[in-house]
Amino acid sequence: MELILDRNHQAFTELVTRHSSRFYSLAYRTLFDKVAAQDVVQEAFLKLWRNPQRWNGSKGVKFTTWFYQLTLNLCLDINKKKQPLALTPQWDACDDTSDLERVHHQHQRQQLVDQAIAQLPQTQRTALNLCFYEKRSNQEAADIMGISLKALQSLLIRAKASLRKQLQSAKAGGVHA
Amino acid sequence: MHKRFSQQELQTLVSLWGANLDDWPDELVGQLTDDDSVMQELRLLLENEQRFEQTLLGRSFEAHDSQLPHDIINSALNEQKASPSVDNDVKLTRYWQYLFAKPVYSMAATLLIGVVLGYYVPGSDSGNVDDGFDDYSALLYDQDELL
Repeated sequence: MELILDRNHQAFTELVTRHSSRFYSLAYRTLFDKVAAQDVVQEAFLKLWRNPQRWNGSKGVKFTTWFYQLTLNLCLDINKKKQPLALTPQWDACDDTSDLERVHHQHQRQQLVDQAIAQLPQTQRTALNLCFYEKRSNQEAADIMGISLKALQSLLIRAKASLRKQLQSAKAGGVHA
Repeated sequence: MHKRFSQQELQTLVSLWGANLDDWPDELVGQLTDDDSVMQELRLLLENEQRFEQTLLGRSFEAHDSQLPHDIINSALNEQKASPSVDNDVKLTRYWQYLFAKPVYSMAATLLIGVVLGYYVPGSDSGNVDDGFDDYSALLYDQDELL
């Protein structure tokens, strides 16, 4: 980061190459949109390049924590402007195990999980994305979201409980989850 | 004496720490493994959680285009070429941030600026030592000339 503060393009290249995938992953899971997620990651890195002083390591904040925050805030700005997510798959019960059916079921299952996650409140979704999908520690996820550890843990437990309930009811209704 | 966990409490812990006991805090695992009946219940919950996590991992995901890092790097480079003055702004900002982060440097810089201005601002009492005009040479002026 010191080199980037000195406008070292090589250091910036190294940083982007090493970290763009992980920040894209969070952006994609927050936005459900590949193009928008790529735009967000690009915008976040360009913000850093234009004004590297925005990250102040002396405050004890890890660079990745700060950059996750930056990425997440850009995503939330986009989500505020967007229409609510409308994932409405059609489900049908089927026990056929031919390859085509299996692919169909897998696709259905994927849509079911996507829909269940999309219906979570934004804060619960973010907690789940950070802790479960991005493998951040509970404390780091709390730091990224700017909330207490207890609040983060509560969000995570409620998110999982809500998902479990939705998936179980879908299963009871004949969907292969 | 260890706390006795209810099934609800165990489920909460499983939701919080996940299906892999290796990811749990050691202290908590130590409390749980002491009690065989709790461990039996916990194993069942962990198996359920594992299936649940597998389902969640089935969520759709599209990887980014392979040229994304390249695009970001190029955009940054193009911006730098388009407005090199940004570099100077950044350096200046860094200088001031550094200066004001340390009060001693800040005071020294203020003092230095004060001394320099004192010497070089036209009309100041002290300074102007090199212009060959001092009190003695003032006496050599004819008053009429001045008038």
